[in-house]
Amino acid sequence: MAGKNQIQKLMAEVQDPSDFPEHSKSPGLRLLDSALRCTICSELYDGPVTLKCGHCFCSLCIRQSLAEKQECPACREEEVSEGHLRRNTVMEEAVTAWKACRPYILQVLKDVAQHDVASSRPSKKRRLDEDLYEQDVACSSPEGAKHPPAVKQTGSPHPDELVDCPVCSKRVKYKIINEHMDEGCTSEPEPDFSSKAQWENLLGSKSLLGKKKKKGKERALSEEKDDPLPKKSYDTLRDKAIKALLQEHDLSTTGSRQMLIARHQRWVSIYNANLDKAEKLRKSLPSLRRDLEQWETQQKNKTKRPVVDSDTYQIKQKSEFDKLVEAARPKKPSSAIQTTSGEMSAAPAHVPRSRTISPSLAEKAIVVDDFEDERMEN
Amino acid sequence: MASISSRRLAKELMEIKNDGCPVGIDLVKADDFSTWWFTIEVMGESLYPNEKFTLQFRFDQQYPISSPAVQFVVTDGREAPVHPHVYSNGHLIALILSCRYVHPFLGNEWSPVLSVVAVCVTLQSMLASCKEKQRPVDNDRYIKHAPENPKKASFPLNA
Ligand SMILES: [Zn+2]
Ligand SMILES: [Zn+2]
Ligand SMILES: [Zn+2]
Repeated sequence: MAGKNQIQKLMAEVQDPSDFPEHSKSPGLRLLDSALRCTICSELYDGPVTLKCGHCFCSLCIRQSLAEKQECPACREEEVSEGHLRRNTVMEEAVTAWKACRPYILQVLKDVAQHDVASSRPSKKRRLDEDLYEQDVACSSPEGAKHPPAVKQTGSPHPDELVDCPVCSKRVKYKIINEHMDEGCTSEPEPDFSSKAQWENLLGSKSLLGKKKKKGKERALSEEKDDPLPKKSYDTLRDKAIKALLQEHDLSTTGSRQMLIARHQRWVSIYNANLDKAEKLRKSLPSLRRDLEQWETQQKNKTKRPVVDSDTYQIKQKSEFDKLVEAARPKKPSSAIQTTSGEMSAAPAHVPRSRTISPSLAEKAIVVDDFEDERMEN
Repeated sequence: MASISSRRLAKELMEIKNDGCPVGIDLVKADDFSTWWFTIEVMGESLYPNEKFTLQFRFDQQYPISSPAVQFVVTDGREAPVHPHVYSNGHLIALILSCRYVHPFLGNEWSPVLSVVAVCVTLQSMLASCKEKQRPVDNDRYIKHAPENPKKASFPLNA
């Protein structure tokens, strides 16, 4: 079954703390790897930001979470809004450095392990985790942890070797290059240890080595565009105005009003989250647009998936709904920049009144998404 | 094309594979990224000795920002536990995904930092602390009109 293959493939590909041997064998490595991961998405922090309480998340992750509920997902501290997010540049640098040395450390550990075994197959590289390796083999070619390359390459590189993505020219592990391109180049770039750029990352300094001039490809968002996009209160905007907003950023203007709003909101999140990254780590606008398109495709695919009944599909952007709900209500005057406190007032409306359970439970009963008709598809 | 939700679920699966599930909880099915099944048993003294229940999780593309849809499986001879918070069709009353048993400070609502296993543990604890085996008082009324997906349940009933 396709799903099963997909799940195994992904399990073999995702990186997580268990890539490292347990604590008794390599003290601290798993802990370190997990400390540098966002607890929402489990990936290494991407544009880490910190809340008032000190908890840290990827900018895009926490923005999505705050759109659902204005609290810290880790400690539930309330009345948190996007305005409270602060870039965590130290964490970002730590993650950049860790990304650089992670494959190196894994390789060293592997070599050590192989040496210990006095392997009879010295040329055959393998992952430390035999189990993973087997899975990888099982769902791809018998050659091992390789997926057929889309990029023509003479003499396949080692799966963990970094290659230049032909699309975005980021450094990507060979074994995930296809996946990476399929995803519209969204996966974590694998910094090159030796390059000047890497030194720049490690030193965390823009000034030390001087700014890089733009290369052949498009440059990341430039400094002049450092301002985050304001949130809009769409209820005051006609369709035409929303389309104009989208056009401003070269985004598609097709679809229902709901779709237009969802698209623009998502764009604002993606765009602003990108600004929470160090300039050299930011994505280009075309790359952000691809992210947006991919997101939209995923929303649609999910609704079509045969495995689940269509009912299962939930509104993906409750914040959108909040806005629509708000639109239907008498509104206090607000500027075009909608502060997130505006959304808070709408929040209690989502708390289901439960009938028979004790008040304490009812109060706290999970907020469910029940706006079934809020779909990306018209 | 792997979405954030799929990647996150793959990692949860990796964790289960590496560390196993807590005692009394077993993964029985995770063929894809939309539906997973676990069995749960209450360990130690309880009103449910030797009873094993199957729990179904369904995920949407917003997971883990949005909570999974959780319910007990009641097909092929499987039954939902008799509990004041569990309807006979397997739905949980008002969707108590309370994770307070696992994360006391987190209260009862879903948070994206929680995991599927955390929800299993929560429901296991919910059963373990049960004082009286009975159905919710509105069981008959509820199951007559219940939506297929328990996440849809609260709205129509509140309306
Ligand atoms: Zn994250
Ligand atoms: Zn916090
Ligand atoms: Zn690329």
